[in-house]
Amino acid sequence: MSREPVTTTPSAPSQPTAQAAELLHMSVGPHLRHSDTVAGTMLSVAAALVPALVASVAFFGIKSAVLVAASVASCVLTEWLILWLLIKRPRAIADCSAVATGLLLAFTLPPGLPVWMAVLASVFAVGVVKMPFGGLGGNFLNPAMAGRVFLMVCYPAALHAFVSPASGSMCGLPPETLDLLAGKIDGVAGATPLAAFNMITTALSSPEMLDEQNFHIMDFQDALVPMFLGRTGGCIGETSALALIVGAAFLWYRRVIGFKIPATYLTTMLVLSWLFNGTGSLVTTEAFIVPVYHILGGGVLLGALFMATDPVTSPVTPFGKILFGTGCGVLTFLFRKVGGHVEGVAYAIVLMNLTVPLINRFTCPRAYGTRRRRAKGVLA
Amino acid sequence: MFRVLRSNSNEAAEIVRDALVRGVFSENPLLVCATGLCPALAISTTLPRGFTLGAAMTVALACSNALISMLRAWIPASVRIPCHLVVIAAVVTVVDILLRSSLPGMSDSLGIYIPLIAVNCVVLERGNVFASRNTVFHSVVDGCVVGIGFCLPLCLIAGVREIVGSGSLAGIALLPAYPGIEIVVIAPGGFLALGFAIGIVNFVKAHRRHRA
Amino acid sequence: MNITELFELSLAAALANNIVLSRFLGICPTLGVAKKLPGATGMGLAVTLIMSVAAIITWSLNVLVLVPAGLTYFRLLVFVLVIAALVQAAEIAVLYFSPRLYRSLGVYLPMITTNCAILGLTLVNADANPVTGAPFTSVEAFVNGLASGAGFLLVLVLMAGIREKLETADVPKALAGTPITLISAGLMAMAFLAFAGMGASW
Repeated sequence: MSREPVTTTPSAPSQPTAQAAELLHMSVGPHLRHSDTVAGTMLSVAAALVPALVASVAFFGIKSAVLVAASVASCVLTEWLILWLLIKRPRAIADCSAVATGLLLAFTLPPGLPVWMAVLASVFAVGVVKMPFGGLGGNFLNPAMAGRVFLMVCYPAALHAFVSPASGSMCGLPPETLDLLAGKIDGVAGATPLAAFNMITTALSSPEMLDEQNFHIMDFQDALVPMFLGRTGGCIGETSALALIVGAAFLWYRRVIGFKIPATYLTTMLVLSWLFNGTGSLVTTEAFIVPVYHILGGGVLLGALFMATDPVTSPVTPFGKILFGTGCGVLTFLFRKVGGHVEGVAYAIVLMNLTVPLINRFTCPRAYGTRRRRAKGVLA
Repeated sequence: MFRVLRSNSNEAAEIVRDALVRGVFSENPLLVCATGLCPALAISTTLPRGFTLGAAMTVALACSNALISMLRAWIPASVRIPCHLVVIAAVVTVVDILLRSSLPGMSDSLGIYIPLIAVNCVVLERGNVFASRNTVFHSVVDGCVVGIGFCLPLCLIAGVREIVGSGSLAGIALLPAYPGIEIVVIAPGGFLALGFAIGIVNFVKAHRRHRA
Repeated sequence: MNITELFELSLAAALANNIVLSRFLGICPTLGVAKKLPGATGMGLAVTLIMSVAAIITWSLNVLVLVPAGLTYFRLLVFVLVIAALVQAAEIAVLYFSPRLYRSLGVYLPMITTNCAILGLTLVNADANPVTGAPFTSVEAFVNGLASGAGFLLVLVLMAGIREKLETADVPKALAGTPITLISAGLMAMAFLAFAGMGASW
């Protein structure tokens, strides 16, 4: 579709008609174009993820860059092959959505994961979750999150094999605190911050026991700064909260993501983890440290800022977005507290993706002048 | 029935051949008509399980079709479906007992899916549509070929799922260093495998129609 | 008969061992009926109703008649007949008491006779309770039936939503219809695996 207007010329020009013809421009709509393109949006997302990528290479070394490159390459290759051989629309690869999928998928993987697992997850994410539905816009599950769930089902042990960052400790706690704990609880030194937190708060499950062992939830405060900056163990994209927030701010400025879904997701997580904080009270300082811990640990920031806001698989209506964010927060907290998973974000987002078409249907704004639709639409 | 076999053996062979083509290819219950999917999804995790269920289904189909065809003159039309259900349930009970006595391990592994053949859409449909209107010979042939048409894709899908999922076939490890893709042998894998199988069949059919 | 155990059993029946996505029963209605939300809700409610009543009746017959008499071989026959009769009775009852309800639900009732889900659930009730390890009690059988029906309703409703979204998607021709619905069901099953680990830590 060309951007130039097409001028028609009559077959037998006579003087006045030729002049009139030059004034008549014909072109196919749309006639007013915005400068945004799909490729531009996807590349903005990729650019927003660059700070987190740089942080992860700084903390974990070149292997995280290798994993990211492998993931992006296999996503692009799979999508191109399917578009070229099966769907016969090879130029659709230029919308760069496979690049964004590959990046987001890689960010949910631990740095030490074998490369072939990342490749397999990418092939699954693009070839099963996205392309059978016709490519971009047809899928109902977030491909990156579905790829991560695929790995969680097939190779759960490999996903928990985290490596220490080059600087900083695995769980973000300073060496003195680690020595204090290492004598009492096994495996603390090798766990990610959230896993360590869970381990300690379950092992020393009452406030009296904590006092007795000379350990206080306040000691976890020392882990918060490394968790914010990224000097802890975890997945490639999720350790550095600072880098993620910078990237998300850039995307918000470019109007690629809104604020409703991340705000409601994070608020719900904060409120729920404050209400059920496990320290026995609601007004002490510990009670306020625990929610911040839950936000900074695990993939919550990555999920809330980049995954849940995927425009294809999140609701369209404003109230729908609020519902979606709240639902994601509730499910994540539930899976963390009660389920057998340390990390509930992937499953929570994927489950909420399933409900998005229904949310869209039921939060449709009422057209002016019509009556509110009752349960007629459900049981008619 | 015996008169048919003795004097019209050529015609019988033709009936069998037509029925085979219809039951296995053009009207395959699993891949074309997409009926009776419940056991196909649950059982197709390993080749032996798939084959056992397919064989049990074939036997049940043939016997129930024969019985329904024999009784078709005496079943009033208003209670046709409950009568068919009774006949099929009786046949499946017998099949279940035989299986439990001869292959107890496999029977345990198949669990409730053998008794569920009694309400399988394929069995009921063949009984209702075909066996209640045709001779016993036709019905038995129809039951056998529809059963084969069910069993073959089931074995194929089960074999593929087992190889891709665990690198072994019928318990024999084919690819020793294969780490296995767990998701293929559990619940989601069944849906995905069958979906893609039917998709491949549709693709091949459209391609052949395009070329022809 | 613990309230916690009952709660755990109902969550397991509805989510972790979901009758469609985990036990593979009731696929035919999921593929056929769950195209639009009203159809899906109607079918799901009808199945829940029949399933809970059938669970109690078949459990009673099994435990009070068949097992003591040593006639477990007739279980399948008896269950099939009971379910067929129950569906017929339910249809008549619904038509008599509420014609309006019959108009919305009644058309799905005859389809339920051949639904694997109901027979499958009654056969599951004849085995051991996965939560306690002992055979099902009557209340547990009823709760199992009710919760499985609720899980079935949930899957049908979600599937209806996804099918409505798929109508506007550019699905390749080879995959249109049954294949893409099966693939969607597979992805839904993968999502529901989230609940598989939850039973262990209640």
